[in-house]
Amino acid sequence: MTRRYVLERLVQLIPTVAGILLVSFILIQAAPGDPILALAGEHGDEAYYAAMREHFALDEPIATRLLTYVERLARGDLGMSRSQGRPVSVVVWERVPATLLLTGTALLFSSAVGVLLGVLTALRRGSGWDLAANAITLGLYAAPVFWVGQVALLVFAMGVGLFPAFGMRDPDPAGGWSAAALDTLRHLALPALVLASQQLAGVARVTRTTVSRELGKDYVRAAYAKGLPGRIVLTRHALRLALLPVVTLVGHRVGYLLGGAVVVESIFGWPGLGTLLLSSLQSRDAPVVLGIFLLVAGVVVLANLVTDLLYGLLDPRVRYV
Amino acid sequence: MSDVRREATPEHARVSILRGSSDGGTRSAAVGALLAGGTLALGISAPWVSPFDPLAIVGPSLSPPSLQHLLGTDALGRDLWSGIVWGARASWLIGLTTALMTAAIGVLVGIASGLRGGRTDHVLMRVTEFFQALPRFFLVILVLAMFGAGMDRVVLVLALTSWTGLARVVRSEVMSLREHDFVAAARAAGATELQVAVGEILPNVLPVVTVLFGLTVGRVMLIEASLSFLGLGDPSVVSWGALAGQGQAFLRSAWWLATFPGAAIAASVLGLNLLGDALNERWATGE
Repeated sequence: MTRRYVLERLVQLIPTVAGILLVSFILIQAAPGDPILALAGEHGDEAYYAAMREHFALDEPIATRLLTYVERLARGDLGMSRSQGRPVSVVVWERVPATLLLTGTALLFSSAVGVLLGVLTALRRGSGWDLAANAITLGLYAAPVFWVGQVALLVFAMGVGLFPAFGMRDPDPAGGWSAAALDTLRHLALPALVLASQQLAGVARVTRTTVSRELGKDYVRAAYAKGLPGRIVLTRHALRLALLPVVTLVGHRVGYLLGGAVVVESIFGWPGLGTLLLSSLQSRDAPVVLGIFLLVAGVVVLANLVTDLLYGLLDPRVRYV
Repeated sequence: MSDVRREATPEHARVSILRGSSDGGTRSAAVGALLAGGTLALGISAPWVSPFDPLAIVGPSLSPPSLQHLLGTDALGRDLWSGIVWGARASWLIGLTTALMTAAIGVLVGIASGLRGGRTDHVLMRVTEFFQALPRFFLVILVLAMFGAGMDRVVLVLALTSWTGLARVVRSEVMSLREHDFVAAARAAGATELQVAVGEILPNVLPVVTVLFGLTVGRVMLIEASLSFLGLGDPSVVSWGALAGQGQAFLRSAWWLATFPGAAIAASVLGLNLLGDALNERWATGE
């Protein structure tokens, strides 16, 4: 991977980011009726309307509006939330840790367990375990995330009573710091597993396919013929190439995962960006919805960039001259 | 080398999630056809197989599955089986409409990109990457926030953002097709670019488009169901997602309300995935 590749990949960010800004800008401008009503809802007071008019430069010509929009975003100024009366950036930022904890856990868990499951089933193709895993991952891949959540709630929270059904922590946890952490972990387990389920199925299936494919190739046979133990052949040779598509899959599905987080947060009452998004939509607090959209779009663009750079780093065949 | 991104994630890196599941494909194709075809048939024959009006109060509140009400009733005493049957109609209609629009855009972009190559290809692929980077789910919610609720805009936004994978696959198919003799022969016989595209290329990409069409229907069903589950769909239309969303509040007291609508979606999507997978395998191996 050369510096030129990294540079070109960075330059390619410009049209993408510009496009995202333009799409969101056009949506604001194209809203039916007075854009101020679409942005600020019908129940705002005059002072808020005036502030929003000023923020989005609605009385200015369109070119000035666009410039103002981009300039304020560049400063991190996303306007004021009507329902909360605080800056959108603050309101949104508060919710980031909870969503990060939920999606981060789901991402790590689905990647680790998915790869493990994929490798194990590739090594035991056709066995009973393989067939069972295949049926389960096919099912999980097709099941809507809210259904997985509802069934998990019915079985594990309400049925067995193993996990709490709602929220991120008990209202009044006894004990100190470690008890609080344990309490959060107990609340986290079920939503994180539910969010991870579909991704885990995808990762396991792709890993199984690519590992079996690599295992059939000449270089793997050559490595075996040299007398290398199977574990070494697998981890040092086959897995390295087999995991490339997995990296792509995980990296390019960050947007899906965050979309799934909205549903999971709503089911489990997880106080993250998803619940904020839905409550803002209900209270017609469009600046917050816009802020979350821009944040998620930024995260997706960044994830794609990291994925591609990682891919270039991992794949010996990708050399850019 | 200007086209870095395309090379950074080459097509060989895009492995089908579904591939490698089957036993030659016949059995999974049959199961898939049964599942997907079954719910589709339910949707088509909704007026005849639904025992009640799905919005009418026809029984006691929250009664569990019984002979009168096969899948039970909801809090208002509406028949869940009737709701599921009519929900099939809504889910399939939205899935098929969106996937048709998606396929049209994807085929157009893919063929134009693959056949013309050069600058057209470069520009179209940049556009494709842009749409791929848009977080669909959040874009739909933003559109709903700005334009108000409505299924038409959901379909439109999903169609406008779901064609990228299809365009990429069609493009790479076309790139290998255009080197074939029959394309050169058609050109030599004086066929215009459009005639080549419609007469020679299009019939040959239809198999792969069919497979992706089926997978797109499933994916759209899932997204639409999630939106309706969250209460962002059309309140006057009975849909699986909305039924599951209404069941959420009664999870403790009426397990059937949340269980059956989600199962209907899972069955349809699983069926479509199995079917697409089996067709893919069959055509890929040239059987």
